[in-house]
Amino acid sequence: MIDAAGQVLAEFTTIITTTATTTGLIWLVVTLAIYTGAIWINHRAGGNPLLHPLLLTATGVIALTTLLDISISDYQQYAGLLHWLLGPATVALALPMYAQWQKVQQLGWRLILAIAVGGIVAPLFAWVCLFVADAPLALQMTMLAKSITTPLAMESSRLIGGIPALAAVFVIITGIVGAIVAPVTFRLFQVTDPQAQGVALGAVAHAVGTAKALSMGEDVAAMASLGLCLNGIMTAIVLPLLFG
Amino acid sequence: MRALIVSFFSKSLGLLALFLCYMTGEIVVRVANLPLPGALLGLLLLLAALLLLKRTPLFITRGARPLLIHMSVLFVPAVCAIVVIWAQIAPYLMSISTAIILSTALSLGVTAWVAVRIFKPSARSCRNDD
Repeated sequence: MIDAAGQVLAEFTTIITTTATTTGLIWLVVTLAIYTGAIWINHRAGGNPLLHPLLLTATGVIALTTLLDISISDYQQYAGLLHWLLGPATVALALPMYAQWQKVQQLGWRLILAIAVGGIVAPLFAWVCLFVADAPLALQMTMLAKSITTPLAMESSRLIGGIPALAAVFVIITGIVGAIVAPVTFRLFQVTDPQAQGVALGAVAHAVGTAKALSMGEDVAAMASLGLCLNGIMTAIVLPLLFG
Repeated sequence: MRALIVSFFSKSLGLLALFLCYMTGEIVVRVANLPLPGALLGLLLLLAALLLLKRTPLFITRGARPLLIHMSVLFVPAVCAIVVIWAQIAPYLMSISTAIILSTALSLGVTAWVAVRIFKPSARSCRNDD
């Protein structure tokens, strides 16, 4: 107990002391500045999912580190605070979940079932594609976590022998693809019910899909945030049990 | 000015609460050797607390908002590692893209299609409730 507590505290202290150095602070400010620019560009482009702030910011940071000849692992150490904050940010997902609790009670097992369909079908399809292509096991495992929210996806992929960094990229691309194809797909499958659209967007395309759902209406967005949270929780519990 | 200070303190208090939930989750997961992300346990802890309280305290909302709105920037250090693992995934680029695009489009449709059929009986009662 005390060991584990000491470990967790020591990790936190290391992060704070690394961040509090001049280099650490500079990289933190630089990353935040690039991110601010990325948000501005994304707004100017009308929220185009292809210009997702994360993709723009990461591209900017990679370009800068290459230009300055700084290794990515050094950068990751300096910007460690940002990475650490993913933990508390995941915890914060309890808020949208609680805000929609009435819907959870109202729909009950129907909601769980609908989200489970998305949570099983999406990674299964993707895994089959990689399995057929004879991709390495680590890639296959990483793909299984692709449709849940990034912080949970990274942790779960690590627990089942995947590659966390790759999980983050898969997740974001999945979200972007989902946001782009959703309108066409819903038309093809003749789904007009906002609740059904919302659940699908949240369960399959997580946060990026939820952002898209926001532009489709409040009802869609509420269901999407439920799909995002519940599928994240269910997948993060099930994957390590199956493959951990 | 006073309002600013109050908001700053309640935001810090909210962040602190989230930090504590997260760290508690991490500690419990390590002690009990659970196959779960510690952050997920933290999420469940906070959710349980909110359900017990039956409301979300304002300071938690204030602390959580910046993290939720700007979650994207928190992934930057992790995503940058793509440069390091690029050589590993480059040979499979085609199958990876196919996997992601096909599975996402298909499962969006299938999930929504199934959801319509599952929600149908309750959809009517929902509308009456509203």
